[in-house]
Amino acid sequence: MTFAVVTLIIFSFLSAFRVLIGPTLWDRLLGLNLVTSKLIIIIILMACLRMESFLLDMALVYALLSFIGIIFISIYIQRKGRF
Amino acid sequence: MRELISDIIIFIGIAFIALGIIGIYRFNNFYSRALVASKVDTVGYITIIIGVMIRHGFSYFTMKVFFILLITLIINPLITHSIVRSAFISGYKLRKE
Repeated sequence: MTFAVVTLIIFSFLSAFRVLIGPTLWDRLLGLNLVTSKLIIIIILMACLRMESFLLDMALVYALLSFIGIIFISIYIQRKGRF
Repeated sequence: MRELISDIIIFIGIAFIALGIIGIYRFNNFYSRALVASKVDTVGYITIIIGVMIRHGFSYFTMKVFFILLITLIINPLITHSIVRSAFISGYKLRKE
């Protein structure tokens, strides 16, 4: 199980690297989305390891907030700054 | 016995996510990258969460994890749709190689 958490951390660094490289703006958004979903998996695996259920609430809130954030960023870009 | 099954399922999920990471770096244009990354990532997500749910049997913990799975199943495609839609509407065209 800890091996799973470590590999997921490495994968989140790789997708964060995609945010750095990403030629277009939307590659960066895509990378952000991937990093967020991997972090949610890591939080859930940590909650499974430590058997604490408040971590699950945190993962849920983080998923919803990242959803709202990315949606509004993409809408902001789509309207070319006139929000 | 249940520990073994859940570990195997979690490793399968990690293999899916690894494929998603390879998919990001393999493709050169944005649209195919977005298609592969989001789809494979969601599949890996589902596999790992099912592995966690199997590990904990039937309890409040599993109910919460199942609820997070439902929420994310709805959210992930929506996020990717909005990203690709903003890319398309803002005029990101593919150059014909």
